[in-house]
Amino acid sequence: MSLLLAIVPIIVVVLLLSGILFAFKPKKKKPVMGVKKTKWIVGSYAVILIIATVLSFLLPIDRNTAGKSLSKSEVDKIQKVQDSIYGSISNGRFKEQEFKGALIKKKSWSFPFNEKALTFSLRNPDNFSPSILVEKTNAREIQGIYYVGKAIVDGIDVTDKISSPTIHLNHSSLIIGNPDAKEVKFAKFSTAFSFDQFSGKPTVFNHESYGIFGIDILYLKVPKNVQITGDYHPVN
Amino acid sequence: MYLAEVNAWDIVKKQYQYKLQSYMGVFTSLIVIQIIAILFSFNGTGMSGGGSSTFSYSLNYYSGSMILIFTMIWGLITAIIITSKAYRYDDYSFITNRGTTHTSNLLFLLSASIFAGITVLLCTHFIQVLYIYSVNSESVMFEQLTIIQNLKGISGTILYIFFFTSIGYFIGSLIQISRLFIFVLPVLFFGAVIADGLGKEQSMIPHVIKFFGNESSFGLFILKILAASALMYGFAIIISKKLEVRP
Amino acid sequence: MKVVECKDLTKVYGRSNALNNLSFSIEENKITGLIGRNGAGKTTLLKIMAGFLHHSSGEIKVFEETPFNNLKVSANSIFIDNEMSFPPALSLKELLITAGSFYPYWDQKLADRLFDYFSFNPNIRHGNLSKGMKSTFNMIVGLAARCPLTIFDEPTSGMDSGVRKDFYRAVLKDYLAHPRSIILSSHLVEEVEDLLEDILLIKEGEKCLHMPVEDLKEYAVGISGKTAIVDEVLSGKDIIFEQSIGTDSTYVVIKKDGSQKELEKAEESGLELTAVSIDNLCLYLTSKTTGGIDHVFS
Repeated sequence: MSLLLAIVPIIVVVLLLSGILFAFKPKKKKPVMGVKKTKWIVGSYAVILIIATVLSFLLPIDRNTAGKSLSKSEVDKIQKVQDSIYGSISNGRFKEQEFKGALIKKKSWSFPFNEKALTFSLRNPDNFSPSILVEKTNAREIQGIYYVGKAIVDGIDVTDKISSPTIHLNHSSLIIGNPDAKEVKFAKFSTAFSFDQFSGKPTVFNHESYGIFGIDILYLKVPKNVQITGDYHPVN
Repeated sequence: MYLAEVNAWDIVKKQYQYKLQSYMGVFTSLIVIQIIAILFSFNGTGMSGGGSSTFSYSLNYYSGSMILIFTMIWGLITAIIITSKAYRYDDYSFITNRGTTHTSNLLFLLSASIFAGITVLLCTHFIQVLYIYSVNSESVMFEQLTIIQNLKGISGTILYIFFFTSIGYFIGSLIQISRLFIFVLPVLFFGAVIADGLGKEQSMIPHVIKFFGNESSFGLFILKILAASALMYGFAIIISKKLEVRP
Repeated sequence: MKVVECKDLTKVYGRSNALNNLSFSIEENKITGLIGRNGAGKTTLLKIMAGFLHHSSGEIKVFEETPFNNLKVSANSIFIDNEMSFPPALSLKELLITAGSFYPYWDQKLADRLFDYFSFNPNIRHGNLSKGMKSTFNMIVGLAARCPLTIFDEPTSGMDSGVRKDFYRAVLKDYLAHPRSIILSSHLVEEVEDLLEDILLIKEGEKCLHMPVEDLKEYAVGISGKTAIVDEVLSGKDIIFEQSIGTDSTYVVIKKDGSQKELEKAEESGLELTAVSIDNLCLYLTSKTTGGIDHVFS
């Protein structure tokens, strides 16, 4: 955007000058197209643009994954909810419904479990260390749920671009592997500033990148009497 | 001898039809300007990136703003051209007076602004299609607007272009009064830009841009733009009273 | 009803007066010739009539309205000159159709027939025409518009003599079929005098005379003979033009106002009386001095 703002004055000046010079050249010397030919050209241009517009709605992209753009205030709301998650966790409470819209359930696993002890290990803690929450249950299995905080880049919901970690249960040790490293290139198309102006979106004049990112929660349900080794937050 | 009684509005309508035909050339220049703007926009208007070790992103922005700005300048220049002698005298080969000339010019510029405003929106879709078919396998986000947002956006776009035609109409009328303005106006413009650059506080031009550009209330925006356009056209009409119609 | 009425009409350009206290009126359905030298103010006067220019003082009424910036006058009059400007995007045919959409009395058939007669290419642009062809095309617009007041300012400039004759004939025929007020300016009186009913002669922005062509033919008389006798007979007369022929003869044009007797007396005393052509009379009346170019060399 700042690039746009930087070159605009130059373009303005060049176009202005050339336009004025063009405007005051003696008119009769200029070859002029006839009305019919001009109508034809303008008509074809309009038709091409209309076809392109229709095509753009039929493009082979999934419009749902492409995502809706969120306004700053919407993002702020989500951020607020996300901020409350950790407080909640340290108080030993975690209710999925409370964080609805801010936390997305990405993946779940379940393993039958009969051991007396359980050890967590992160395969690569430098790169991936989710908060691990543990709830003791009566079931005879381990259930794992991976939650990811709604990830928003510049108003675009990119949550479903984030991949989930892997979990392997090997006797009494639960190995948590990194999600596949993912690099996503986005192209964000927006209409002209006159469209953003009345839709509560940032305009060229008050543009700021806003987004939220980086909440990883692995929620585990572990049988009651299992001895657990590793960093975790007991909840519920 | 029977004198024909004429109705000014009838003549305005006829002149408007006549201008739609004879000024058709301005639309070919619109096409050229928008194609240039599409080419500029196709490089992207900005980028950002970020992420963690497991997820990283780079975001390229493509916006229709460049197309709109180019089109606004087209509107400005079109209006200046229409006030030039060559175009004014064409009116006087047929029935006219100043009132009908100004009114039909205004109607023509309004129609041109509407056409240009709609094409600005269509051009942004054109860029999307061009992008999808030439640069594939990336995630593409379209800013999705509701119908209401789209309608407001189109109206806003048209009003921006129309406002620029009114500025052009005013500038053109000044130039018709005295050719000196061809030199004076750019000097004033650059003077203001340079003064803005030198001074620590932002002055006129950014203020003017923000006055319109930061108005997020659609109703107030319409009011501001229409009032400013009316002012420009009003000045132009007053100025042109000093001119003889066809020396 | 008077079509055009001027009272003390004055137009000032800078320090000089293009028109100076001009007063006249033109009745409806007449063909009037506006005659004058180059720079006499013909074009200025016609443009004021057409509503193109402001006048500086005095009064002008066209159809009883002030013409400047007046839609009614614009709708009922048309001003044809060779500087008429048409949009370059439109072909000649499209221009005729456009003109037809504007002028309420437009005769498309006449326009088409004249267009074919002068073998115009309908697809060509006005800007690409030669000067003469431009004038011819403008004339077609002027005639077919059938405006109650049709003004031709030097309409034949650039036309070859054949087209000129056709033009005058076309004006006359169409005028007879559809009488209206036509004002035609020219500095070539000879060509138009058969066409005109009235002549308005102006000199340096002032009215010289305004009368029917028939009267103008009887307005003056030329007298030639020995200088001594001429001087004697003409003492105290209103001399319009004077030219010495050879060493002792003179040709004088005087206004015919006195009694027939005086002229007969002049004839008796050996002077020769001749009629003065309108063409020459207009020249004499509008020249700056009575002596003509000879004075420069004497």
